[in-house]
Amino acid sequence: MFITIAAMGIAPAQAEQFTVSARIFCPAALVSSAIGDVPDSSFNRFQLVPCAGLRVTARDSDTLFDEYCGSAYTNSRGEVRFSADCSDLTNRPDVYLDVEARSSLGFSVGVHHVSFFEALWIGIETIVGFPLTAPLAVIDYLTSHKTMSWVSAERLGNNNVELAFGDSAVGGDFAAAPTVSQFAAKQFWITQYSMLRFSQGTSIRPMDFNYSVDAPMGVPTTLYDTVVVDEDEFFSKTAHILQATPHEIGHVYYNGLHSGFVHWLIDGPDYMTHHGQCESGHFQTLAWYEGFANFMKDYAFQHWDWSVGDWTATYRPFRGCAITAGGGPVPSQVGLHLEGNVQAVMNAVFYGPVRAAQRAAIGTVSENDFVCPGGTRRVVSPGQPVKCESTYTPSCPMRWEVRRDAQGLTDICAQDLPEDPRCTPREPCGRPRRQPLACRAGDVAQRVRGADRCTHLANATLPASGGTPRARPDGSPDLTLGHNLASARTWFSLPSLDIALGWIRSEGTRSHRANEFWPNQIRPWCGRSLPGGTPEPYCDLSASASFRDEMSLISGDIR
Amino acid sequence: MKTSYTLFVVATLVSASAFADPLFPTPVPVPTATTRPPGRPPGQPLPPSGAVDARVRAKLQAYVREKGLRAVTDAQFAAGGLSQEHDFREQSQVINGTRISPFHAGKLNPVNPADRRPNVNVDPGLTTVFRASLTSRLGRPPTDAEIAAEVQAFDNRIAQQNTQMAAAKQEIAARYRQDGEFPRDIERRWMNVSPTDPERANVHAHQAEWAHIVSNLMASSVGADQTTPPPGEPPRPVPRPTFPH
Repeated sequence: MFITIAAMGIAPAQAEQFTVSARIFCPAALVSSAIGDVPDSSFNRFQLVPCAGLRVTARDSDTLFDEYCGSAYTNSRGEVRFSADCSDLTNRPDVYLDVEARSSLGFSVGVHHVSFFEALWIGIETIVGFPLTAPLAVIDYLTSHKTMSWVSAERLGNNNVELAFGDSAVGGDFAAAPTVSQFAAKQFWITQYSMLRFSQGTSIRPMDFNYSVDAPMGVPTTLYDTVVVDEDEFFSKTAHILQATPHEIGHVYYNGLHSGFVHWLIDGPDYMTHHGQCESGHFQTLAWYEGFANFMKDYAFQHWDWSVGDWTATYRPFRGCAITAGGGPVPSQVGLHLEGNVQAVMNAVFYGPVRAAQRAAIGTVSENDFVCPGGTRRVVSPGQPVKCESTYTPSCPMRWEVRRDAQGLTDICAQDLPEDPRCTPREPCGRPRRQPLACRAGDVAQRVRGADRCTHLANATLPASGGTPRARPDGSPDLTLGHNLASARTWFSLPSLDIALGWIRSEGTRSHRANEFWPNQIRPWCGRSLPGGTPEPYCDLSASASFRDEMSLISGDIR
Repeated sequence: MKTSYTLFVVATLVSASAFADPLFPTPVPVPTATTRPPGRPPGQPLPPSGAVDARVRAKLQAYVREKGLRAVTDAQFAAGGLSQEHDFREQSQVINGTRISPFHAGKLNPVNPADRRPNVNVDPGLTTVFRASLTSRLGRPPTDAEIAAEVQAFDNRIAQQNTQMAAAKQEIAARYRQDGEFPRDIERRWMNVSPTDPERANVHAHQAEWAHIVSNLMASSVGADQTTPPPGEPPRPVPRPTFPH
């Protein structure tokens, strides 16, 4: 070893600078729907697509350790192109790509890390049959993590030459039997999708977290900042893996905002038990923890379409265990010890009326509610937002004139340049110039007898009492319709996702249950006066009969 | 390395006494209250510790066997065009003595046109998310140009992160030499993630708490965090496993 190191010191290193390029594909589970692509609910049909936000590292294969030459994240097209340099002792560097399931959004998908001694230990255990039940071994299995890597074949690095690695796919051979490599690639994609959804609604990021897909347990389960998934789950419950991913990220959000690691260890045993959305017999601590994560899951999968005033793609935030799908009460399922009810409280606070029957009673926004300013015409098309149409006559640029053809149908802009003595038959410069009449960007030209017209379409507005909704960061409206105490339909305010996450952060370790978060954080926000004539929050029990009635069905603790 | 060695020694010593002295805490019966009073220590009903021990043992042994079978072998790496010096091949050869190869490495494969979604040149996960937000914001389906503007904003952020990563190249390379892996703490500077508690790195200092958590986790017949839909909800499709298991 010493001789080798000494030799390294005197050997001339051959440094090379080059450019690395590649395009990386990963497996995505999307299906077409009326609103475009949505995640495949079975999470079982995958196709390779360009993979955005993945880290690609160029390394040089060396005797002692493989040198780092450079790295970059893939762009929206799955492409990387970056400068790299590394040196070899005697030859040009043997460069390979190390594509890691590490996201630009701050998470890593991978596996349990096996060190040499652990491998030796596992080998002994396998051969001799020693038990592996030592807590340390189990803890290490559950928390140690190594980012999944997919490595390319090697190529020789040349000075000032582009090393084009071409198109490559992570996840192994999809025609072969499932492997951990496949699981990691699929999990990366759905985790990235969920994180992108959250990033549309909030500027708050969770902790840098790990997702281990080959754990001996976990369905999945979040251990502070590490999500562990039992491989068996990937084999047998793929649809659940899809649903669980934003739920687990919700736990990571909560864990980081709620407390540090040691406090989580104290809370942890309360969380580690089998539970169901409407299963009773649990602590309120568990119900709040899971209900909040369910709220985050609902956020990731819902598609609110403001133009139709409803959720599309069939996914609707959960209404609560105490209410049937038809809207009737379920007295045995009342209370905040049920995670589904906690989820419903958060959904009602964040979205306004969720339950279909309640929405029908309030009356959803209809086409007739939209109005247009004077001088415009209301345009109602099935399945389309109500528009206001206005027209104007297009004009020509300065010193151009409008000309019409003999039939009076085609208008053009024309300019006849004056004769110029410098013009010659070989180089004419005084020819008349013509161009079509142009409307403003986005408007539509109409050829009509007489002067042509441009048609401009704008969204109609909703002048219901209380104001006109504006977009929250994710585009959903910041107001919702509900009934006030006089049973009149009116607008109410909704919080942003930043505000909802802020409640967790502000409360810190002081609270663990819905009936603590409600009086300490949520109710004060709901009861405050918003500036600038902004309507009262929907969750204000003293203003919103809709919210009050809904909560009376779900829990007596929301008061 | 040091931690792993300590783990090895401690695990060996502790395992040797595993049969005589159950490793998990004695079950603590807790009434099925719906609210844990303040100040009360957390706890859940636990099954007999012997059953937990047996389940952990069986689970981990099955896990190890499957790992050994499915890991990428030295021969597969060689067939993939990796030289003898390559880190993953070297690790694979060293650990082959115990029939275990590095689990975290796979091969990059060429893109099979039959597996590729046709005519898709931008990650559809991105465009799907942007389309949903724009539809809400605009009150109509967005145009291609509007989606392209969002995609461009994403690419600008990626370019910014790549610039910062390139600027930290010497630092990253030095840490690579030291640790053998990408230094995540450097990367976090431009990721805007919430800070992680430094105490998180000190996992082994809290064995007693972990033992309690693992015990509860293993005590469940289905496992924790299994959120099942309520009665009356349409069943979620659960496809048949395709792997002989």
